[in-house]
Amino acid sequence: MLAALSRGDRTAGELGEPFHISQPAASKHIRVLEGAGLVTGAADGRHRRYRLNPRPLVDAQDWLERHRRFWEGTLSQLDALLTRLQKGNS
Amino acid sequence: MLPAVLCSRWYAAPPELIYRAFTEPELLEQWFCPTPEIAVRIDKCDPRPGGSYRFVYHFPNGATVPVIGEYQTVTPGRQLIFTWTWEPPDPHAGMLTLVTVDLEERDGGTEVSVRHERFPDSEMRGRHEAGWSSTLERLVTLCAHSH
Repeated sequence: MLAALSRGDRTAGELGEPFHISQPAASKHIRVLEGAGLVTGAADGRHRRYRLNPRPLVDAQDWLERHRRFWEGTLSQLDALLTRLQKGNS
Repeated sequence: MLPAVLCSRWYAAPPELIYRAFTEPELLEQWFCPTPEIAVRIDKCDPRPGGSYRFVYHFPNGATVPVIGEYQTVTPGRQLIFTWTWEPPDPHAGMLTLVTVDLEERDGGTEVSVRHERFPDSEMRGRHEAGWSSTLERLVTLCAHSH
């Protein structure tokens, strides 16, 4: 379903079609995806169209910042270990 | 791709000792975490080309977050290149990134440079990035079991 959504918006019926499942069954699957924040639905006439929403996965800048802090913190921990090891050797 | 994260620091210690700190589990467990409040347990550490590792971070609130990867380049005393992938529950679980650690002897000590790169940008995330795919696979499995 997500693969289909990555190619464009779809209705529940369209999403269920390749799996030969009913629209209510397809809707059940879609609710799981909506719950995970990966799919959002919007009314379009009689149907509801679903769209892939990759945003909850990553905020890119936040991601880089988190890793920068990770490495800065981690490399500073190495100092303390090396001091201990070298004291132990001398 | 997003820009690489670069971080370097000079240590008053020889490259050989620092290399050991990066590759020996009993030493890694003593320092390889961003703050002293976080503990790291080394599940696996096999520093040879194709060898894998799994480190588990234990947070003060009880949360545990593993990171896994595979060593690609292993040059004792000089360089380590390994893949880096967070596992669930990390929000970025499944994204394959790459870490290069260079050790360079300088001024009677060692300059350690870390380059963490291949962070996928948003365009790729929505398409065919490995991490995105594995997230999709997990969801597909979840859906398959939710009948």
